[in-house]
Amino acid sequence: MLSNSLYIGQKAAANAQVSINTTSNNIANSETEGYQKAETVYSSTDNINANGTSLGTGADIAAIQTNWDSFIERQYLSASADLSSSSALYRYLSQMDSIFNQSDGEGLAAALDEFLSAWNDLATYPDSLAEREALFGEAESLIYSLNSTASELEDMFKSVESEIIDQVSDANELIDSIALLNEQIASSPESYELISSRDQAIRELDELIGVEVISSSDGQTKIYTESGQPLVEGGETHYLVYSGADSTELLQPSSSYDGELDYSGSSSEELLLEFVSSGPDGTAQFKVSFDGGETWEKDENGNTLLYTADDADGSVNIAGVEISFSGGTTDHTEGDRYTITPKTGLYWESDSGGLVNITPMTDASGDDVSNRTTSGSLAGLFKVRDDYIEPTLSDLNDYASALVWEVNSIHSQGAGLEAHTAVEGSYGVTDQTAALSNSGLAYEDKIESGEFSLYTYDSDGNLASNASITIDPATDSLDDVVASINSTFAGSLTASVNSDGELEIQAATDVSFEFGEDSTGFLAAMGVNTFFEGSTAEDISINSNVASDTSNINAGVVGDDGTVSSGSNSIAEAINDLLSEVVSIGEGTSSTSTSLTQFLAAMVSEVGAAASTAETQVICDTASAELYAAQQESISGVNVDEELINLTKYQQQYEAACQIISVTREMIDTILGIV
Amino acid sequence: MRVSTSQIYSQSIAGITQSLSNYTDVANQVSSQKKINAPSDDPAGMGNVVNLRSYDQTLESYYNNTQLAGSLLGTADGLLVEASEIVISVKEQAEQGATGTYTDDQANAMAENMMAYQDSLLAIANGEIGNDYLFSGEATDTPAYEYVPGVTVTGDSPSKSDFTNFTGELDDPVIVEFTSDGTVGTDVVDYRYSLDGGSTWTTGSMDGTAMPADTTMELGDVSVEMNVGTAVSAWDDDAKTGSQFVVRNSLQYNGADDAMSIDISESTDIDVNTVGSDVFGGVDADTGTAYSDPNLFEAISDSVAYLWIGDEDGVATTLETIDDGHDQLTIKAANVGAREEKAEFTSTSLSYSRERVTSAISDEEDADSAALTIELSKTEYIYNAVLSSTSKVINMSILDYL
Repeated sequence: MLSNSLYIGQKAAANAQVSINTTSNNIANSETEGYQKAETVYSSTDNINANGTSLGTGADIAAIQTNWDSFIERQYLSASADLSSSSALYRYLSQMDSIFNQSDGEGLAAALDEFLSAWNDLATYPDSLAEREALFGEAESLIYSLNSTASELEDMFKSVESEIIDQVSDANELIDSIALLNEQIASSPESYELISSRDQAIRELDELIGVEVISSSDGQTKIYTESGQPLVEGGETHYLVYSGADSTELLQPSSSYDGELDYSGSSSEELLLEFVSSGPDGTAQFKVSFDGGETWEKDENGNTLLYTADDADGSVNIAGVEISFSGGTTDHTEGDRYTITPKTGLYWESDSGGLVNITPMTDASGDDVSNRTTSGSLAGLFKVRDDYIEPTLSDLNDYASALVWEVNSIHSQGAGLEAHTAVEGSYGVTDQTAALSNSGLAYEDKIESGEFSLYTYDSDGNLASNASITIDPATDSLDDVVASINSTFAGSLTASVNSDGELEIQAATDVSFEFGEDSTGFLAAMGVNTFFEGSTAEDISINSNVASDTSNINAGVVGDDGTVSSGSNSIAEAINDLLSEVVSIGEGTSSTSTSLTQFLAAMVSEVGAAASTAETQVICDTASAELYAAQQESISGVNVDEELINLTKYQQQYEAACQIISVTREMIDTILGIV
Repeated sequence: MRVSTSQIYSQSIAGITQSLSNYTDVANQVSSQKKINAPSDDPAGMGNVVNLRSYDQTLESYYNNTQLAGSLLGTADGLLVEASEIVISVKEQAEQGATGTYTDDQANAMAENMMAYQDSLLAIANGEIGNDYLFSGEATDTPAYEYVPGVTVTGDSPSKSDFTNFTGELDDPVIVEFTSDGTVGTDVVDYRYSLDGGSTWTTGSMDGTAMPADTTMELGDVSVEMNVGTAVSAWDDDAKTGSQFVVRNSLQYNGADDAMSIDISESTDIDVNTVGSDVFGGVDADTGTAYSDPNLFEAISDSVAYLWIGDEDGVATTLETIDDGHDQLTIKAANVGAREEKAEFTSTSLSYSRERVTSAISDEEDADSAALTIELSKTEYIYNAVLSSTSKVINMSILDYL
């Protein structure tokens, strides 16, 4: 009996030590990220029967348990992945928000207003050099705004991509370490430290890419992406891959098409082509979807847009991607599908090493498309890249391109303070023998049939001759136009094409010339007698001819009498009118008719709205993630005060256990004294 | 709910961060006095502000244009009023010259007087503001008028169109009379001319038989070229028949045929200067012929010629044109006045529009100062409250009681 008591005391003292150790460990780890509070679980040991009485034999520590609610964790993982997605999105959108800040008369809109107003000032004093210098300064500010906005967006684009690369490799490391922990847990299921490490690693992975966790009976876990691809199954792993542009084909079983799809160019959109009619290249037609086949692109009348499959000469341009087919000797079959991913994307690597596209994708209304990654910071980064930075950059380029074209097409029909003796175009053709509409000019599609006029002057500045050059962009090549100028103005003007494919016109000695009305847009498309050079927000600059001498800024036109009056101001007025004039911005299906200012205002609103929505989303997601985190923390977190009480409790337990031993020993001493 | 120690700290930190961030947001609005400090603060509002500001810029351009038009037209208006007064004097002088008989000296004095008026009118017609001429149309860098030699036919023949070219510069008018009959370019035609109003004469002849035929008369500083085939007859001073003409100064218009216009609203523009030939007439620089009547300047030139030779009837014939020219001048002055009025009226309405736009922009982006001050105190109070409660919570420990 006494030995039982001694035994109980000894066990109780040992248990108290274990409990104190556990409590101490809890206190020590109270600030450890992901640490799960441990508790000693006592269980009473079996009774023994002595003299017909059942006696207790003390308590054992059955286990040291961590407090963790896997159901709350599942909800937390989902909320946390959404949060990291929206906060990645917001992080970059708030940067864009500040780039596009137009408050207080700063920013692009103000620069455009100032630039166009400067033309009004020039219209009131057309021959003043001071107004010209002022206009030149405003033009430089506008160009600086466009260049810097574009390069900031470019930099953001690059930093998003490098962040994606880092995060993919972080995710792969986490996948490895979770698999390793799985194996260690399988061999020592009791180790609660390993389990809490794994739970923490899962949380970290989930922040990068939203995951589903399934626990199996042996304590191992399986981790899947939201689209169902396994990342970790016990000790098995599948990596994520960040890969370049790609295209895949999915032909009908009955299809015998033997050609290849070719594409060039890049786009933030993923293109799905589906053939709607059978036939060979040049006949078969396909439709296109940007959201994986949920909706198909339509024209302004709501009819599905159809494109004809053809070879490289008949290639179609969809969202900036040139698509053609080559080598096909047989027919396309209705229902044949091709997917083009003309951008880098996120892929899941299968057992065989094949890649499955899980790049986040949103439909036209901005909702996530299923079967793709929808949460985690990777999803946020891809969305900000493909849905905001790239489209905004492309809008900005459309805007700059429209600005250049509109100003140039007016300016090219005007006259400066002095007549030209030589001009050089700023846009080059790639093929000077090809029809102008297919010559590789930046603005080749803008050239129309019509004519432009040229005036030549003698050494005294008196009109020598004037004639018009007729142009049909569908048939005339640059060489044809050059020949036409040379034959019309033989002896006074010599036109040629330089090695960059640019048009040059040189006047004979003592001859000067001016350009008149141009109904074709040819002069503007060649960059002759223009104000701007370049065609995007990044490469826009002032035409070198104007930059070298502001008297080459055209304020007026050649009058009916063939001379330029010093007060002629119609060009300056027409450019100033661009402040409110409706122009066409963008190309193809994405083109809109609006004023330059309104387009910019819409762009600014769009960025602002996206940033504002993302901010709200971050607030909501933070609230729900914090709720679950707090619930989990409430269960698993360490409260130092509580541990102090426990410590006191176990200390007293230890003292009491020692007291049992002490009392029992005295009793034994008493017995032995009797003996 | 059970609360872990780290929860207490992280929640305290979150509370402090949140309330501080609210506080700085409001402080930012206070310092900028704007409620929109980034597009995301009010995306639609920022879009409106961009559009409104651009509209305001357009209005400002138009407003500046109306101011410029007002000053240019105002100056032109003043000059034309002055011109009108001079033309009245011209009329009085012509009326005086057309009635009664005067000695040659008196007539010459009247002609000199008339030429002085002509000088004054030329100065007005070449009026400029800054470096821009007011009556040259678009050719703002060119003086509107200059003196060139011209002719008034005071005899029966030849006609004005028989003179092809004048060269040289003229001071006083030159009287030319033919002293023989004949055809220019065919016969030897004799003439005489006087540089001093008829006191002394110099003779000359054009030899039409020479090869090439001489068709040019040398008249002191000027030479006059005539059409081949022009028939002339000897001047009979008593009967006042035959070929006689006076070479005197014409005013040639060198400006443009279109006035310079600037926009003063989206759909309207305004001519800020004036085509001088519409007001004063004169001679077309391109063709060398006089503009159609009423041609004030040419009538005055003719009047000078008739006064110079003392031909009262001749002076009388110019009276009507001078009168019509004066009417024309008055009409044009009224037109300039009307444009000035239009510029002023538009300017007033533009400044009202600008006020409305400015107030619309202010509604969109300016912060309500009073509300902001209250908001700032509120967020400040919240921040202080959070700091105070946090410091109390984190100080609590059971160790204080164990």
